[in-house]
Amino acid sequence: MSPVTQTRPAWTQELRENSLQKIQHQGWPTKKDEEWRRTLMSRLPWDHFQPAQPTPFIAGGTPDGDYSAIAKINDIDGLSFASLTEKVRLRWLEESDRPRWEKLLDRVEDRFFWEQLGDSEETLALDISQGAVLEKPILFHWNQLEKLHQRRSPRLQIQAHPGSIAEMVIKLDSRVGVFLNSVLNISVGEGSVFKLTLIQALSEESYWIDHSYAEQARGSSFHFTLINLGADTTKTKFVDSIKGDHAEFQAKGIYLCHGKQHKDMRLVQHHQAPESLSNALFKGAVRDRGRSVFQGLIEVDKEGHKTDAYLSNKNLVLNDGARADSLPQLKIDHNDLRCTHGSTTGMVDPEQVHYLQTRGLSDREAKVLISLGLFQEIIDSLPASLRLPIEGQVETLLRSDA
Amino acid sequence: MTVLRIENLKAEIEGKPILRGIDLEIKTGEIAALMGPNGSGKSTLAHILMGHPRYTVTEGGVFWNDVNLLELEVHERARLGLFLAFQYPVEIPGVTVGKFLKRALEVKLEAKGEKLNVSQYIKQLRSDIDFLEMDQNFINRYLNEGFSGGEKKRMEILQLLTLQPQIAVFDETDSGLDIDALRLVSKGINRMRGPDFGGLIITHYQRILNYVRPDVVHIMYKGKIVTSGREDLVQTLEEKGYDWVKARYGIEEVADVG
Ligand SMILES: Nc1ncnc2c1ncn2[C@@H]1O[C@H](COP(=O)(O)OP(=O)(O)O)[C@@H](O)[C@H]1O
Ligand SMILES: [Mg+2]
Repeated sequence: MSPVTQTRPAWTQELRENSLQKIQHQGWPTKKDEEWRRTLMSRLPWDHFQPAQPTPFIAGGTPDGDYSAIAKINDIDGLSFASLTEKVRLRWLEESDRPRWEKLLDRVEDRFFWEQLGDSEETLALDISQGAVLEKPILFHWNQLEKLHQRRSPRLQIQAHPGSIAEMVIKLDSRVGVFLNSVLNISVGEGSVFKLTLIQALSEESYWIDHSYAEQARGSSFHFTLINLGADTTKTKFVDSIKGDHAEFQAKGIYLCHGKQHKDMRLVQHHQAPESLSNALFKGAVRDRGRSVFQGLIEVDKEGHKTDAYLSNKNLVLNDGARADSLPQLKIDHNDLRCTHGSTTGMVDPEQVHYLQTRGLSDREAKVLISLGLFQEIIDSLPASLRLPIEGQVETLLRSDA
Repeated sequence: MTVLRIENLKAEIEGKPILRGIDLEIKTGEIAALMGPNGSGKSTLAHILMGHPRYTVTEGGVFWNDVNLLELEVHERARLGLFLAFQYPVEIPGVTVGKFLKRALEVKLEAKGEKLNVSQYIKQLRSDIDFLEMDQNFINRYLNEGFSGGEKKRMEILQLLTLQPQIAVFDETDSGLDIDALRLVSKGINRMRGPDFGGLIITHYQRILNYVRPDVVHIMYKGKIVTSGREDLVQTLEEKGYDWVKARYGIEEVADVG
């Protein structure tokens, strides 16, 4: 069973060369770039990591019980793909994908993004067929097992074709330090429902840059959840463009920073069509000398009348020395809409800690439980098979010593 | 037998003296009642026993048998077997009752080097919830969040039954309860009653003491225990009111200070 065709169209090579060309004229981001004001390039040792060879394809087996299809990529075995259903396909890019990528290259101004597209011409494309209804999620598991100090650029196009209903989980893991520079190019077709959970659990000697773009057609519903757990430094950007009316975008996020971890997340809810809804809820806990930055933007174009958009960011700062920056932003072209945002950043409520202490929990235990409580509603919204493992991972991270 | 001995305890909050020399004993095998008008310092005493950081002890001491309780951290006092049913229980969003109680029980057992038997815990919890005539759904609700006043008080009693402390202080557990809830809460306290349990029931009214009959009654006024007696003291207080206390002991107080 090998649904991945090996032919690659010529335009992908062109795309790559065009990206490489842009790099000639553009240095690395600096503090002058608005979105990079809080993450210094010195945190990202790009040159210490070596570009890796593309991964060979190998055929996969049968997906296990929790998933309807599984794609796995790692530095030892390469790529494998197994699916229980013809309704999920994995392939390389085709001619028809070209506009989607050229548009992206026109739009994104970022050295890391160009490095990404310039790194190889390999882009995987995952299709969820029109009208497909998947009972179990699709798993895309990317893993760096043993090769040290590699720079890798996984790039994935996801199309939830019209009328489909599907869930997908992308897991990014590593046992060794890796510099991961990833790109997702997502389209959620008319009337389709797509739930994507992106879990970053890289080793803490790793770095993660991500540029992800999604487009939604009319009447579609897209749920995106970011679980940002591992790595030394992460700088991610997720932009959802609502292009069709009556579409809905639900974004959620959990992030944890301990030790000296630094996580900078950008989320854009871009309404480009009437009567659409978006709702974002990002929650984080920082401790030790960890730092998080959340930059959320609700952007509503002229066409976006009767938009209903909400953005909420909540941070727990568990000790002095840790820091959480919350930067919600609105960019709105007219009045006929409802947009609200709220952010709270603070220490754990001492009365809550005291109450739990009177039941025998230590100060530390009490704070772990209260912090975990902050994330519970997001954990409860994950695909069923992920809830306990993610809860366990979050708890371990809240508890671990730096 | 465990004795919690309070000796000449004086305490203040933000520099303002509240407790002005309390002497009191709570022992296993006995239920004591502590009554007194609003503002006399009953909650202050309860919070100091439990170690709330807001209060400062200026004189005197509290001993758990031979252990100086005031030197212990809050959670250490709890692990010794001290419990406070709060007048205003705190809401903990996102933490379910089931998970919270399990964790609380785990740390209690860990302190003794034991492990929790999870299936037995769940069985016991379900039966205690039935006993208090609560909905089994409470297990999955977030602790105290959105609970009515009566539900919060019953949750305190559920915690009491789960944690099985040696000595418990009930701070106005009866206030704001309708007669059904009062009956259930009392039923919970009475179930704990026995040679290995001691309680201090802080209350404003006689009501709860009709259900949980005290062995000894103390009356507190302006930061002091002004008189102690048996159950009949409750009756006297009910008939004559706190004005009687004020008239009778307020004067001595002024003389004291003056
Ligand atoms: N947080 C606080 N700040 C200042 N004064 C307080 C505070 N809490 C209680 N008090 C004062 O302490 C005194 C005793 O209060 P409390 O112990 O609550 O009495 P009781 O429980 O008997 O009604 C009252 O005069 C009250 O105003
Ligand atoms: Mg009180």
